[in-house]
Amino acid sequence: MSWSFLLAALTPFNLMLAFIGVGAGIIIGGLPGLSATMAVAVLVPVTFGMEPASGLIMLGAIYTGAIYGGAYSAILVNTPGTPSAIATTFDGYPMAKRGDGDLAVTLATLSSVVGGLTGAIALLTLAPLLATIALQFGSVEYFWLAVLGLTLISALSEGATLKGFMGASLGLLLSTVGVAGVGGDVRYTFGSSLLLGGVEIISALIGLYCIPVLIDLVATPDPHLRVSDKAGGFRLREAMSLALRSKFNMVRSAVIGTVLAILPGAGGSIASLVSYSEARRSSRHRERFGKGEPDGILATESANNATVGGGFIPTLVLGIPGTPPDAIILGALLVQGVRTGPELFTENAAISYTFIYGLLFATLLLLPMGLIIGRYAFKSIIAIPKAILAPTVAFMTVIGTYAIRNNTWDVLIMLVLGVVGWFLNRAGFKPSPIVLGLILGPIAEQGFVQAVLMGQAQGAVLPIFFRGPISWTIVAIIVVATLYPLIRLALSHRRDPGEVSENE
Amino acid sequence: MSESTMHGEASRRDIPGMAYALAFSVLGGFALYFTDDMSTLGAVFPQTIASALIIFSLAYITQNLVSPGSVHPVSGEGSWARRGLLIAVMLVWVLSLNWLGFIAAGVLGFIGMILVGNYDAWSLRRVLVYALVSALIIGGFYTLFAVVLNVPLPPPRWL
Amino acid sequence: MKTRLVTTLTGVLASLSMGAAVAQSDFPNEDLSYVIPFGPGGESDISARLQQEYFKDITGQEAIIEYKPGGGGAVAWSQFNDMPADGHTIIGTNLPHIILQPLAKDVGFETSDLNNFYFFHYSPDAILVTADSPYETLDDLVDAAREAPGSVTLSGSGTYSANHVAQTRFDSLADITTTYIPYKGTGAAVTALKSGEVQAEWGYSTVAANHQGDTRMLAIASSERHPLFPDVPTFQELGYDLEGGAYRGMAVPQGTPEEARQRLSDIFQEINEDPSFVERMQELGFFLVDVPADEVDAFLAERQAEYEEVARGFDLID
Repeated sequence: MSWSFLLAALTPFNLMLAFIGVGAGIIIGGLPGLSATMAVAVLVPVTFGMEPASGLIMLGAIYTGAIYGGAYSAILVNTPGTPSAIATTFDGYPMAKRGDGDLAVTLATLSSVVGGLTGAIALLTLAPLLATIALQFGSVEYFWLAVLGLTLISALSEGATLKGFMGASLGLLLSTVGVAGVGGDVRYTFGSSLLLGGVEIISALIGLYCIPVLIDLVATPDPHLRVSDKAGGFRLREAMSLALRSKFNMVRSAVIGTVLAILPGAGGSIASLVSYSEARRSSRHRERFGKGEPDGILATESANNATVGGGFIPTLVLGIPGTPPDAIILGALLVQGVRTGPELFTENAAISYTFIYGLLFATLLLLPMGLIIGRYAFKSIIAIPKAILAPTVAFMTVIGTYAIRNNTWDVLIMLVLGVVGWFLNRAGFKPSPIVLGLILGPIAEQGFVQAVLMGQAQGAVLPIFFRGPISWTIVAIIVVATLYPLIRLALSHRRDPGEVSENE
Repeated sequence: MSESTMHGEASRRDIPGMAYALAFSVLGGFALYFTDDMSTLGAVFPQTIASALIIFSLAYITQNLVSPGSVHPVSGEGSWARRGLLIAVMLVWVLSLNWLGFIAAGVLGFIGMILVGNYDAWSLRRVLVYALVSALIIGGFYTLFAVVLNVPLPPPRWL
Repeated sequence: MKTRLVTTLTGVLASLSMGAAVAQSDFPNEDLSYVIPFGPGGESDISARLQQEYFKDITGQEAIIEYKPGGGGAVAWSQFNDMPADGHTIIGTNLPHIILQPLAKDVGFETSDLNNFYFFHYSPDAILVTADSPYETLDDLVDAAREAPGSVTLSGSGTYSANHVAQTRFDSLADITTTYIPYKGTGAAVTALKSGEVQAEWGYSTVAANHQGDTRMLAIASSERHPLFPDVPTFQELGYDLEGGAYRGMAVPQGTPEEARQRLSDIFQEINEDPSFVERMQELGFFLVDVPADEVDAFLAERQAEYEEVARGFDLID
């Protein structure tokens, strides 16, 4: 780590790239209907004319901005821009509805910077060490991790746990549509090529979250969000004092985000979920979570921006992409002739370290840019008449869904799921378990099938599911997470028999 | 959905929820049925999940019949006509993408959505402003995606 | 009556002019759409992007890459013949995918639906192990498999994919039984190897090229040793008639004028012969081949026979 890399990162060209990248990323991530993966995918060709390090800096900046920007649509339109922003909707949208939308955005900005810096610093200093964690997780561990994610999301459906489980099962079933990842079967397509590609995650995300909002948006002439009297500033001081009080929460969530993102594939989507659960569990006012509790946003946004830096750890050190945008960025490197894998930190260290410093800088840029863009985002959402807001959001869902796989059927699936999701939401079935089932289904299934095959090779299937300390730990956490609400229930009854149960 | 279930306290049985649970269990049954054509390994997961769905759904129905809890409060206000129209407009929009092409379908869909979402009085000024804004938004996104980023948006096929 | 005459005349004129444009070598006279049936970052994408550069030099036109992932390529291939057939739209094709997928299931297209015009390289199958693996040579692995049938586990990308085909063919050639564990993508298969979850990997030389520090190959399924890996023996050298891998080529929609198809084949053949293109592809681990338009049918027939045998082994067909 020499200073020359830092200086290389701070050339005017690279600084400009970081600036443009972050700005573009925030705007794209912030528009409901567009996503971080799409942003990176469509902007990759732009970087091919550049030096590898510069191209990486731009892509990393876009990625960082987009993950942060996803908070805008999550808070203001209840539509997460990426799976990692799902948990931000839990408290973000309620805050916006009651008039604290600007506060929520500022909180998201502050915690995203904290999380992003944590992830980037971990990448800078501890990458080779942390990368070994990725290698400790195999099929069995991923299977249990997926089960943990599903358990958490169902447990978070306070009072409607069974509905949460039903939603998760529905999502899991949806994830089996199409060509099986392992096994090669073609399932539930009924012979049409429409469903051959399966249900694409981001289109389901956009459909299940955004379409119901649109449907209810046009139903009344009332303003979409309430505006508090304090609107006009950034509410920065208020946000900062809330953040400082919650500093342990933010840092803990950032660490969770960084570590989980090291696990390729599974980590990013459940990182914010795990941080949220943990923040709620250890909070003194857990009943406020889900209704607009600032700590919730601080936790989720810190975690999901930490996954940016964390996800690059396996990507750069092992050549194994941590998250879908990482896979695209890795491909971009390969096209440039840069060998990925261990060489990136040895022979090509110049590229890697220059990039990491660039990423740190881009993360710092989130603060001023985020505050400014966030303010405009908030103001425009409340100022635009519904007659224009509705078609614009609808338009973005159409183009944003199409651009993921250049497939018009994805748009149809998005719409159908959205309408179904609206009906389900009215009956108390929330979209989050369904989306998480969709995301974690392939991970759970692949892990399961692979484990079975390995077990068969060793002559015994069941023991393999409990190999090693990691599997046992995750299973233990699953058991605790499932029983925890029941234990609390029993304890509260004992303390005060006759008191009505708190979560029904 | 009846009035009583919408306001929570009157009936403590979550009828809509139970109806959906029933639908889910039927869905699970169908899912199980279709696993016949799959290979052994390929069928394991769908069978497990479908069974779980059925179990959870029946458990929910049972739980509700035995000890009903609070009903999820739902707002019944707002215009159902507009909601229905929105769904219809978007459906036509999406289905016509391949045929009309992105721009034509988008313009029609955009206009349709303006009509569905507009509560203010129509004046010449409003029409002009909305028309201009629509053109800018559609044009802007199209330029960005199709021209700058080379995303292959669906072309018109009816020509 | 009159309208039908007009329509026919228009159609005839249109195809004549398209043919004429091609013959004049004005072709291609606009940008080429190069559809990749996978997401960005994969080997199909990388090799296409290399071609893109040279395409621009030779024709002056851009080859614009469009991603249409889904169903392991099936979504794009099944929708391809609906695209314009004027010679300015091509799609990447992959073997064994386009042969095995329709055999195995109803994927919305048949192999014959795709009008291939050139095959330009393949990633040779290879068995990879970690640098510190107890298997020093291929024989070590074969012996281990013979001692305990089914106990040797190898990761690979996908089911009924090139890796899977290679494992099946090798097992029958060597008369052993190994267990193939499918993973979603080469990245996941390599991780499984590195973490020790499996003992070896059925991958490609491109994977080895990318992970030279901590992996090595036991054998490679190419006709001669790869310039990047002069110490790795070929399967044929070791006595196993295994040659092949994931082939990549390109196709045009049905109905594309023959002149356009031939011209495209010539252009891509020229790209394939450019020394700097060859070098860059080899640096990444690819192995170049040259199957121009007139040899495509014979080439595909050979592969078809090969894969059908394997498919019988999979119980996919009788």
